[in-house]
Amino acid sequence: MSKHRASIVAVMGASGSGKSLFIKAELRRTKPRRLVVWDPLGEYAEFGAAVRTLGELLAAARAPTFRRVFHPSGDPEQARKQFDVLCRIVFAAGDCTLVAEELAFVTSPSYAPPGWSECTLKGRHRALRIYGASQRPASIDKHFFGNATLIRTGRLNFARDIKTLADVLQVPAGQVQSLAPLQWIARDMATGKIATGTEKIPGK
Amino acid sequence: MSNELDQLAGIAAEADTAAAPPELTPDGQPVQPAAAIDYATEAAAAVDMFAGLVTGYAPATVELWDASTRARVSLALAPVLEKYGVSVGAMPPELLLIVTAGPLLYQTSKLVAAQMHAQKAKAPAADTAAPPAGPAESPGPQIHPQVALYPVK
Repeated sequence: MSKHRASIVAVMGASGSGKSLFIKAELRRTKPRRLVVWDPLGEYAEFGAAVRTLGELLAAARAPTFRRVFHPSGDPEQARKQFDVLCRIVFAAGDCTLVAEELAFVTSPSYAPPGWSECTLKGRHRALRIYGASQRPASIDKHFFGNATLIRTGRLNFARDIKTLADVLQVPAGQVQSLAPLQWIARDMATGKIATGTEKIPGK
Repeated sequence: MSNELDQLAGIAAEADTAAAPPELTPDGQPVQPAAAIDYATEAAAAVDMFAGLVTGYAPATVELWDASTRARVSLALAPVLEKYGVSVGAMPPELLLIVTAGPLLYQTSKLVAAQMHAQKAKAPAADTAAPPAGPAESPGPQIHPQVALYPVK
């Protein structure tokens, strides 16, 4: 048995539903010493030094403390390769918080890069804390939900996404469909406990 | 762990070489990739456009295309747009202009024609009220000055 408790948080929701707000609030609260952010939309500049090559990230990951925000290639195929290697670096480094934004760009229901699978399947043994976010839960790696310790969703736009999350959370689809912007439902996958709430905008 | 990281140097360098450097904005931020199409918004825009087109040509249909009807149709349309990958934003701009401005031009031309017709209808009444004045006096017979030198006997 690993001495570490898994921490894999799936954060789903349409654009403007409060996904990034939640993850940023978590990062401000937990202040991870070792952090890697996969940031295709350039939203996490405040949380670490920007890096654009995996070589830079690899060099940083050797230090006891590092915070890096990786900006992937705009080419989808190259970005998927970069994501795989980035996840392998995080797994090898261990004891690290990984934020993966926009998973639908780099995974699909039938495919997950091996590095990502390694992090979500065995990350617990390496003391990884993972936040995976997507606007389109029906379009991402299905195994991710199976490995998650907490699944949280905000408002979703599409029937397919609503159904996917309702199934995963084991709540009626109507409950997911009726979420207003910034409202959320979360399920602790270990206890089955459901929580609901509204994300707060900092400074308001 | 360090040994594992060492082993990744090769594939990291390979991925870096293969990946084109990300495009940067003038302030050094990465250029955002094209966002995924939001088909709910696309559907709402398509329905609004269609309703605007129909109500523009036939204003009597405004009540038929109220907000709740538009929302209902949008909800049904979104999955269809997603299924076929149709995006309103991808429409040629000329077509978008015709669809948007066409009904407005049509209604504008109808209003202008009605106004011109009304003005024409008023015009005959004004004629009877004040007929155009004729010349104050008729001109006399025109006699050439040279002819006038020879009095008629």
